[in-house]
Amino acid sequence: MTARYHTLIIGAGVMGLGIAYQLARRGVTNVLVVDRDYLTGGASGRNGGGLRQQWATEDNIELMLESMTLFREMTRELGVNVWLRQGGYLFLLDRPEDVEAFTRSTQLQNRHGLATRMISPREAERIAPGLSSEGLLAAAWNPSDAVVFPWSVLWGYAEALAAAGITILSRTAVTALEVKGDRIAAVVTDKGTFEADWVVNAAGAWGCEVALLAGIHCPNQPVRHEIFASEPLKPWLDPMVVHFASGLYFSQSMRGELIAGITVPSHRPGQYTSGSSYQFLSLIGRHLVRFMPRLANLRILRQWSGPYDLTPDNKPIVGPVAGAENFVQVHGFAGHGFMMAPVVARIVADWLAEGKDHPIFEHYRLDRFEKGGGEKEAFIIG
Amino acid sequence: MSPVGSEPSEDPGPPVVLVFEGRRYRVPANVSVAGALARLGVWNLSHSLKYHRPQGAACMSGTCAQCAMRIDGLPNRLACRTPVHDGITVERQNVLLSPRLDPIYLAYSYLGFRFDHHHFMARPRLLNALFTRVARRLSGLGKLPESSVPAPRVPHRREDIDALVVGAGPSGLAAVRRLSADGRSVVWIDEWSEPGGRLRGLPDVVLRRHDLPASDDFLSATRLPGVRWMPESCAVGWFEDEGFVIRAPQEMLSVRAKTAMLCTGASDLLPAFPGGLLPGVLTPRGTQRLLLEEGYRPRGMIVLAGGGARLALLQEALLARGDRVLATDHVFAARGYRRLATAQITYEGRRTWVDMREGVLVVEAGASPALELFQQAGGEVAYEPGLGVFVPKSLNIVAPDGCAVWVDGLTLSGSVMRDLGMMSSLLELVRANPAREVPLPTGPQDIAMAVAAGRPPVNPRAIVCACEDVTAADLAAAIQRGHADMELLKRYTGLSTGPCQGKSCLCHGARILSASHPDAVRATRFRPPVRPVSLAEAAGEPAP
Ligand SMILES: Cc1cc2nc3c(=O)[nH]c(=O)nc-3n(C[C@H](O)[C@H](O)[C@H](O)COP(=O)(O)OP(=O)(O)OC[C@H]3O[C@@H](n4cnc5c(N)ncnc54)[C@H](O)[C@@H]3O)c2cc1C
Ligand code: FES
Repeated sequence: MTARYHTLIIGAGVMGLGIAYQLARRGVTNVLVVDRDYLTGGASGRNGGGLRQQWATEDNIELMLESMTLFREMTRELGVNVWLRQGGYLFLLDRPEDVEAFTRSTQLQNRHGLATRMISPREAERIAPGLSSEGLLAAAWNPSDAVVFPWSVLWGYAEALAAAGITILSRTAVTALEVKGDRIAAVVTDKGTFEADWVVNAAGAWGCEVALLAGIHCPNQPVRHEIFASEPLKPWLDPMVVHFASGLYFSQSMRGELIAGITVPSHRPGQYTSGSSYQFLSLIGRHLVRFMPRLANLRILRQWSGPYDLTPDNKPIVGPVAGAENFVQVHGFAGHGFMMAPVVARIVADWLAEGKDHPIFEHYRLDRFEKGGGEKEAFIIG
Repeated sequence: MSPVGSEPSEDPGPPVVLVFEGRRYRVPANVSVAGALARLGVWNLSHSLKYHRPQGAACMSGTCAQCAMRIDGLPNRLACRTPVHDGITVERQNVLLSPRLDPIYLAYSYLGFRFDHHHFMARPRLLNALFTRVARRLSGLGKLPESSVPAPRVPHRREDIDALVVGAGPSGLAAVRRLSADGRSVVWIDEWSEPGGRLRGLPDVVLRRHDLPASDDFLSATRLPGVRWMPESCAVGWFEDEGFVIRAPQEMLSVRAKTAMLCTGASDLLPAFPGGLLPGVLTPRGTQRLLLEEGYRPRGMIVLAGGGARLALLQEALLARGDRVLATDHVFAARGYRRLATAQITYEGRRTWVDMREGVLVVEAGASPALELFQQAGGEVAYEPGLGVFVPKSLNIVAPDGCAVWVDGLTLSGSVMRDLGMMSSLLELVRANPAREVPLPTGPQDIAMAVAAGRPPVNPRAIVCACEDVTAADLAAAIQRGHADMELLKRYTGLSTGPCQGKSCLCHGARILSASHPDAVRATRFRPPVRPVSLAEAAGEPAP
């Protein structure tokens, strides 16, 4: 089977689907998306759905401001309920250095028009009913941050792509990339070989693996991140609450479940498996009972895990690479690729369809790592 | 709770006070909340998530999650697994206005209102904003208590053991006998307080008549040399870092076993035909527990529908104590508003509506092998179209930590399970394999019998997944939209993602999918915990 596409996207996660959708909006529908798993099989089907604008770098703040706008339009645009709820993000801080860093980033965010405030532990208790602020020094609060139901975003994109005539080939693995000169000439999958003017690597935490098929070395590595869903409760918690020091975060989904995750320190980069550990349950049990004693009797229905996609500076890799000029990388989004997807997809599609440039292509170049990398994004949860 | 086969004790002791929605009642002291409420004529225990359908106890064994109530101020407690105590307070959850006049249920039952939550009011913007708000308000089941209810942390302990047998049904019994005879030391656990598994509650005379193990057999096995019997101990999962984690009455216990035998039986499937989820409709296991173990005697008729060995045994046991029982091959439909009122069954060769207002309808809808631990420990699970359930594919596998999971290699005393034809143990399924005759449905489309025989529910209005209110039509629509993949079907419709975690519904979905896409049914991953675990239970720090 040989067919020629304008763009072939490897990975049908939120990033790959988002790019295909933005291309379709620009009239480019000669696009193919391939994924070795089922839709929702990657990190995009396993995450907490948190969307925040509280970041420590200008790039991320600006990107998230636009992404929030795109998320707010999403249900109407796609005709599928994505259950966006702007309940805010509440960061709990108990180390002096965190308070200092958040105070600085709050000022930065204010300059970009966000209403983020440093608040007292008491005030945090009012925002998250039942919170025990014992031991906390302060909290950072932005009321316009949000949560979304991740699966629905994928259904929405997938339906819009189907309507535009764009095919998503699921359960189709890319097994080789044929490089001719400085271009990817063909994408070989277990269901056939395809040619395309542009090849996008949106394989998420497997992005480094896919890049390697073309002989390109990327420094990002998948790390296991675990998360759980509880029994359904009537709405009581509006914000996403994050304890910055432990990487604990929790919010209530539109189905009423508590969705919560935490960093398990012994899950090391490069040793990704999608299994479940008991260590996670007991660690998160201890932390949640400490911060929300009323949850002690809350029961966990299901725990699962997915990959974080970590680069040395916690920033992604976006854009074409030297040696394969039609091979566009869009991966390395740590634990925040879901929230970034709509805006990054918009930028990448602008570039693919219309050749429009954007500063992130410079900031997120792969070769920055050879030069020692740039400023590290510090506000990574997990 | 009564041990295997014994009649419920005549003298339950002095009654206790149960406060149901503000009113005080005297109830026997030795029953579950669901059993106590049945005696008071209260069958509508809960309301479904989406349509607020009245629900009642169905499986009575803690798997279907239909009996979740607010008990002593705590949300989502299972009424069938909570024993009464003096002064216990019990309330229903998830009602709007009143259980009788809940507008959502009225719209659902009288106007046939159904909604596709993906597309409902997605446009225009203002309506969507309103809908999202209302949907959020209505979401969830139980209310979190206002203040924290003390929940002491449960200590966590680790132990290396020789052999673990999970489950104290007939196959667990056989496993324990065999291991003990071989001189092994065995930890034998069951989540119930008495052994007996699927046979618990059946009178000894009936069991003996069928050459089945009776209460003495189980009790004496708990005292065999080398056997450590741990009642009320539930293996909540197999974890890569801790092996099997057992929730025991006073502790969480991780065990590493040289041999583990998983004799975990099966979870009853809920009947997937219109009316099949009304309060007053029970599964065979639920009937055994409510009527025999807990000694509840309905005033009206007990209709046993669907045939098969489980119902035959039940019938014998019920007749032995003088209940009014009617066995029928087919049930076509059941009706009622907040409780089962009438059912259409075959009676003397003709279709007849019978009055069920004071009775119970028992439907054999089959059971789904409890393979969660097996799969978590590394076993492979596959769909068996002939049976319409998931079965173990790989046997005698050695899990990554060197703990062997033996599923075969057991010698059962007699061919217990096969003779009964019950889908109750892994072994029976493996050994009997697709040999089971599947009769073709002869009557109209929605014959529960066909469902029991591994066929898909065919009435589009039938609710297939009770926790998430997913109908057969919802599944068909999702398949048509291109979600013809077990993983997608689950996530797109919500099937199996609610509190029962698929134990009582996943097979129905698999059957529907396999009817149109035979190759698309793959086993999904049964994530831990196997039974819900509270944060306080999980929070125990292991000794270093
Ligand atoms: C537990 C958890 C919680 C998280 N919480 C949040 C959060 O709250 N907010 C947030 O913004 N982000 C969160 N994230 C991160 C977020 O989920 C990811 O950054 C994002 O989903 C990445 O999307 P993606 O499309 O790049 O990757 P993915 O969704 O992983 O998609 C990549 C796809 O590529 C496919 N693929 C891989 N190799 C091949 C191949 N050789 N051939 C074909 N296809 C291939 C995979 O099958 C996969 O479907 C979380 C992540 C996890 C694991
Ligand atoms: S009746 Fe209680 S869980 Fe099924």
